[in-house]
Amino acid sequence: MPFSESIAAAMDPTILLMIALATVFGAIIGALPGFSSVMAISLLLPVVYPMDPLMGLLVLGSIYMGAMYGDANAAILLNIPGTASSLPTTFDGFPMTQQGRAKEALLAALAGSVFGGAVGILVLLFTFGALAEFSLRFGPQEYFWLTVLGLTTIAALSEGNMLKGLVGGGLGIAISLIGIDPYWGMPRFTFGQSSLISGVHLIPALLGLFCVAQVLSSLASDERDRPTPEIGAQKDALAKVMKAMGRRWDVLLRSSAIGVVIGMLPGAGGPIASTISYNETRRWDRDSASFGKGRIEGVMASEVANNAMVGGSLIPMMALGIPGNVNAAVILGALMSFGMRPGMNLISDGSGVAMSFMIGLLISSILLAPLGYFLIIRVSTLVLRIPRTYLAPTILVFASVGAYSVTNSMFGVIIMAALGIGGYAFRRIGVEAAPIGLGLILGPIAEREFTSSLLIAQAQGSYLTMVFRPISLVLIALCVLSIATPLFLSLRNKRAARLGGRLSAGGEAGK
Amino acid sequence: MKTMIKSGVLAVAMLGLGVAQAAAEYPERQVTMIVPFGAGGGSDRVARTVDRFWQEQTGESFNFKYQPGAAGAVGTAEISRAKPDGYTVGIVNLPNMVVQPVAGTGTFALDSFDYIGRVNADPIVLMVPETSPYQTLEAFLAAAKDAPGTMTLAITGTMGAAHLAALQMMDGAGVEVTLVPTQGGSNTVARIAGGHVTAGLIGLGLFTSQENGRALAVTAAERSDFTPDVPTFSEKGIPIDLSTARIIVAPEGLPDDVLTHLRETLQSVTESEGFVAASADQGQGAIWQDGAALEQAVMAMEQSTTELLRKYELID
Repeated sequence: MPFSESIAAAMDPTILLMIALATVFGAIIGALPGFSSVMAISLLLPVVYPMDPLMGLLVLGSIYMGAMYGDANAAILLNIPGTASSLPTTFDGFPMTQQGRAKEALLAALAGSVFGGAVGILVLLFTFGALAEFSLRFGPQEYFWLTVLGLTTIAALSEGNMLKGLVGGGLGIAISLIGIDPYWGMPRFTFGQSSLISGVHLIPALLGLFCVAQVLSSLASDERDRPTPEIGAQKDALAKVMKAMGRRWDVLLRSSAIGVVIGMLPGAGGPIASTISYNETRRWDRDSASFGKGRIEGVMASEVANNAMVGGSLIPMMALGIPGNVNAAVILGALMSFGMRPGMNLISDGSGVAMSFMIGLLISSILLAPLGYFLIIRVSTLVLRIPRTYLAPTILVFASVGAYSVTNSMFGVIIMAALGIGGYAFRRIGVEAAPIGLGLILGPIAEREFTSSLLIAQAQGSYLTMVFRPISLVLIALCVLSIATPLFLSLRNKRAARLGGRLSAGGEAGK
Repeated sequence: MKTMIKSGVLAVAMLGLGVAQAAAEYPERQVTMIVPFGAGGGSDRVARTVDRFWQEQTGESFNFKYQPGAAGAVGTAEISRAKPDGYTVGIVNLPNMVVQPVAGTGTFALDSFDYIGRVNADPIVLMVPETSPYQTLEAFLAAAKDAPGTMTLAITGTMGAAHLAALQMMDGAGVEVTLVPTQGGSNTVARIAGGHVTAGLIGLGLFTSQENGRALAVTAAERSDFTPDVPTFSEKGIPIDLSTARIIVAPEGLPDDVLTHLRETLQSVTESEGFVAASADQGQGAIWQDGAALEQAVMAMEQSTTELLRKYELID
């Protein structure tokens, strides 16, 4: 089937309508903490089987695309990462909301998601297969260094007080150790509790750390100091976002590239993509100290990367049959039950379905713009119209429902409460939730890949393979840069402060 | 105390009534199926396929209850504790269900279930990358024998089917390879396809869903219809008969007629043309095994798994 016919097939009005509905549905699922896109698309599998293959695949793909955008809304408005990948979106998104710039942040997330989503699919469309082989060159060693690179974000997040940042990261990693040991398969740190065997579930933990701790600290603060999350008039929000988009091509392109490449790696996943993208954006920025205090680029970096990941995760799935993540795996299952086989000949098999599927996903990512602008942003900002007195308990109710749904028991809610109270206590002594969350998310991946690398090194009789591999070396260099930059900057600031102090002291003396 | 006795008597009486009624017209309400994993996982998909064809045959559907936790151990324990009235069944997978109590991560005993039947089985294949020098199982094992511990074998997760298959292979062939546990099947395939490990053990369904390497042998008793050219380990003199299987169980002590009813219905569901085709779509062989034979297989597996894990000092 020629290319034009594939386009025509994807532009069919019924298909367009289904893409739009599925994208909105995905965005809603993504915004609700505790409900994952994986759950949504798996549950819809029986519904899509009787459909025409193209429509079925596009429904699943569009939900996936929508969910990767939707999670940003809760992250920005309520400081609740709807999924782990939107954790870095909270870093600057929530401060923006507190400053009355919610609209700007939401639009930045939308614009970033649209851009990243579209670039990811375009890369999938045009380099089909070529990049898939590249993804196979990432072994456990590269995965390990990639995770370390994600963890170095802690250095950047805790500028000025590295020790507290490290304490937070260490704490997160310590919590993540609870559960079944990845090598021996035996429970550890479970204190004999069988409910702890599967570990501390990530989503309830994040809900506790971010949302419960947030609610507690807002309740504890003085009435006057209490942050007022207001939507504000912000008539110039759209103009500001468009300006930022137009000026910061470097952010958009770098974040898209990071999203696509990390999306291609099975088992690496969205949180690593958005975290590294956030960290790199921050590091290359001239005014990196202002990140974490409401920089629009921070929101964009995270959201561009986690939507670019959609296309990325489909690259090895379609070309090699190796899905980049669980969402892609479910779509692979659907693909196969429609009688299609992944591989290089998926494109040339004559049916044109694969081509139309990719074009349909491109449409889904672009449709996000009007759907988000006219519908999702408007609906989600209603949250902020709830009087503050009611907002805190409402958030707690939603968070509890989300935490409950992950384990289907009160255990999830207990995890949430424990980490919420603990997280609040640590926040009081200056250990923030972000480094704890990063340790919690990235710790297990780092441990697993380090163990694998070590086992392989031992078998081969040389530990040099842990470091001396081309991609590893590049990643290690980035890690060093990532740690050194904040150190260097803080030294420079200190010196400037000292110099400044001396100068002003001299000035006073001269008076 | 008096009230307790009273309510106890009442409960027994009601239980008796329940049995009597079950004998008359089981089931008179919807049966709950416990899925010890999250909604949308692999077990859920199989459970829903069973449900679809169960409905087609009997007009009755299941009420699904998801009870994830501890790799399925939480939900499995809950099945064993349910009332054995035929209104609670569950879908669990082998060999995990056997390994968990053996390794101490499961708080249930294998004899606290009534076994209804096995609905599918997915054996495991030994896969090497396209570029691998090993064309046959013999060549692979000979190389492993020459240099103990230097070859690496990716396995998905620890204490799962792939791990047991690896131990059985090492035990049966008298070789030693380094096991590298990975997270998730596609991660394992990527490790193998990228040549980061010498070989790996993955499910047959996963193997046939992509084309990134060769299968040297399969762990089933007989060659699979999906891969007729791949020999079995047993053919090559290493007796391994191990599959990841989904089975339906109920708490121990079902009334006989209820158990018979469930076993017969499940058999005709599993053997129906639609179910076989739907399973094949998911890369699974719909291989029915009756509850009685299944129970024996589970008990034998408990014995052999305990011995194997002890031998490799993975349990005390």
